[in-house]
Amino acid sequence: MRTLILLALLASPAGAVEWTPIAGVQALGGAHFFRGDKGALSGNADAVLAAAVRYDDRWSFLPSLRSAYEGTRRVTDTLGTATPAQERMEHKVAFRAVWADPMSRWRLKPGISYKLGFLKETADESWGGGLFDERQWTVGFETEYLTREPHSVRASLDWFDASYPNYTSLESQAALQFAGAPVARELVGDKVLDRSGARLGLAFDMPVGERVRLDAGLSTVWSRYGSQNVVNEAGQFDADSRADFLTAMSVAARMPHEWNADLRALGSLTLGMGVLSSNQNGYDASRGTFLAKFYDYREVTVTPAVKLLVGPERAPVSVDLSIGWRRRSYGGRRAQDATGAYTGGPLSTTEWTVASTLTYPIVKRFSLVFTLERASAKSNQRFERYYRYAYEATSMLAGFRWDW
Amino acid sequence: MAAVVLAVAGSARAAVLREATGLVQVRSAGGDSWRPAGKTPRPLGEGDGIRTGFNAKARVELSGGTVLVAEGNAHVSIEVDAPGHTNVHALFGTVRMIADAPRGRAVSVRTPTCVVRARGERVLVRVTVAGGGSTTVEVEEGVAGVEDNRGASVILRRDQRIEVDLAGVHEPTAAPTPVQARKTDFMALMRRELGFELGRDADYAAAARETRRAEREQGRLLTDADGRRVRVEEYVVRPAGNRLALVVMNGRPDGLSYYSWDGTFDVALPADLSGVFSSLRGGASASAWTVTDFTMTRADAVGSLAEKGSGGHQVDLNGNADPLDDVAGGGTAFRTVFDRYGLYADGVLKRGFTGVNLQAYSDAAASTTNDPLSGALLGAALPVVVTNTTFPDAASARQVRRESYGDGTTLTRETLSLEFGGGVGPRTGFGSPDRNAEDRTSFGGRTIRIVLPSDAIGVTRQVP
Repeated sequence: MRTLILLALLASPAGAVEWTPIAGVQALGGAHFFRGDKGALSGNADAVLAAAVRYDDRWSFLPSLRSAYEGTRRVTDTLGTATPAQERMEHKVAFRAVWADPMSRWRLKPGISYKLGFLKETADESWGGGLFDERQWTVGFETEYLTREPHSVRASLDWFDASYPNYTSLESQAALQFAGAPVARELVGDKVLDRSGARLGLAFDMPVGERVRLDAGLSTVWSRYGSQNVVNEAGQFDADSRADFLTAMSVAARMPHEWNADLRALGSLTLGMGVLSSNQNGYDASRGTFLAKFYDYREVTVTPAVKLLVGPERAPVSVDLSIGWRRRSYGGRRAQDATGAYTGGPLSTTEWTVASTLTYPIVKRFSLVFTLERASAKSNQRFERYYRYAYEATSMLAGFRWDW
Repeated sequence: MAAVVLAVAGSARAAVLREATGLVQVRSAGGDSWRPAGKTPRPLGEGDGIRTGFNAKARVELSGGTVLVAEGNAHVSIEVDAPGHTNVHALFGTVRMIADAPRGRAVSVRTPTCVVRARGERVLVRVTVAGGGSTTVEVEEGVAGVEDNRGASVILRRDQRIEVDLAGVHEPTAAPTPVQARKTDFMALMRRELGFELGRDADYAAAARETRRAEREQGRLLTDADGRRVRVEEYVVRPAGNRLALVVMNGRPDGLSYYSWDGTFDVALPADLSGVFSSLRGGASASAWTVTDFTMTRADAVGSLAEKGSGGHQVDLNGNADPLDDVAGGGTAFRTVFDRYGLYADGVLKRGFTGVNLQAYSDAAASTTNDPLSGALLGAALPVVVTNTTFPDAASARQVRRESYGDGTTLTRETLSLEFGGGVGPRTGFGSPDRNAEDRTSFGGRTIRIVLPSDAIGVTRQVP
């Protein structure tokens, strides 16, 4: 990042460039409980460092670096995959330019980023050797149109390429012969999880009446898995490659309220919808059963939340409370009974989450943070040999946050 | 009377819109519609409203020499504009007032949460009204009084600022210099951009999360008895119309291993194999598909253990002469019985049997000098085998079947029922649909380890 700042400075007219650091660090320690089993005492850390560079009245640059470590699982993670030793680490470097002419309502923001993700799920995996270690490039731009400051409409388009360097299909690795014939199927690919594609995002926020603010967003990620062929009804591969559309929509209404100078609140209600549409099918080889549109699902979420602010406006104690309800239905996947037999109805899951966070300022820019989260999930899927669909999970974390 | 009317009319016309840059609209007192300001100068009266668009600006001269500047996205109205009293109502946005208030003339700006009054002959004050009516007042010159809706008041001097909301006035602070203000605005803009940058990650993270989740849901990622990762791929191969092969591959850091079951049937198989698979374990009636030949292989990169059978035909085990092979529950119980069977370690026959249209395996003749499938003469007679099955750990789901051969070799087959997150389950876990099974086959000084995610092993339980 220093290099980027230096380059910007060198290329600029003398004396015109200003830069401001932006930083934030949060470190929390705690424990996670899943179906009654307590995970090891661990912690999470998240750090963001950016240098906001003002080149001139129109152009600004924002190189940034984010690093995160997760040793204690959060209830917002995908918990059904729980393994006792799971740890996650992520590092991302990004560069964004912002063109904002004071006389124009438009802002244009090209950007580029690179992310390294590391995931250790079992005791024998090491950092850098995780099966789902991920590398991702994104290049894109965003345009913003200021409607009534600070409100705006934003549209963005990114191209991305994600790869899993440690994941190669077993079938492609094996040169197995069986009775003189290869055991691997034709058209089998190697890097079957590597994908590339585009992300389109639309968002706006606007005031509604005197006190309510509305935030809305729509994003869709199109992913093409170039090495993953579509499975057909006979459990063999077709020539087409897998392609997914993951679409998310959300609308949030936020309303502040003040009882007195020392007690304020910000209430919100968020409605969300998610749709995954894929041309890929599934094939349950254990039962010789073809599962058309195996990945497709629809999801609805409702999240009411309130943030209570107690004390002086510049350094209040804040209490965040939220309740989340999520229902997901898989259109092409039938639920199974405990033995694995398909019972006919589409598989669905329902999840409740309750989360609370207390932020207590100690000194300027430094706060103590306490978080308690609980999730409860249930499903009509009774076959849980590979993945847990019904569970109770709790995460408790305490630590600090520092912002610059 | 006429003089009074003229005086009132004169005062009502004292305000003038002198300058309008960008989108500036005016709403006349009592009117409902906003209209473009038009040409300047334009007279304004009490009750008239002014609003500005993005980056627009409106400059209004009020009576007594007071000047009001409404910046972009602002909304104000003139409440009172009399020779001794001027009051402007600021509803939203930023206004700058240069108040000329000699000899106690009242000049004020009212917002939803406070009233700002000039306290001196010349006062420059900047008032910003945001959402919820919260107001920021900054004095650039002179002295101003700020009074909230509860009656509390504060005197502000040059370069001081104060925030006022529905809760009342806050503590005055030093107003930022223009450079500080610009830096603050810039930092707020960049923080916002940083938030957008980080926010986009959520979509990509969701896509990656779904990928990992689906791999799990399909049983492709399991944890073995030692808590180590085992990757699993399970699929079918269709070498011919009447054949199917179920392949289960395991991937570990130390290499691959696989299990396969290749069956040949008496008739062509349908595209949908669900009925075929469910019939393999047998049933109360004879299946429409009979396995005539099979080869089952457990292998790694070094060697293999293969079981082969031929001459398969369906037999009602509860209806044959051997009571020892009866299936619990009574009634008919059809299973496939093979006339010829051989067990091969690294291609070398270890044991086998033969028969003709066997109705029970108890009628089979153990192979001694000939290969049971090919009939070829063996180089040496097969050694005697003794089989011993034990549960070595009373608490855990671990079964060991040891075959000891007369030539001193052994073949050990160990079956373990696994916990979800790794490790061996309790003894009661055997047969639980919630658990995966690990199959360890040891011979010749090595072990082939295979975690079977499915009931694939059930297919093989047809031969003793």
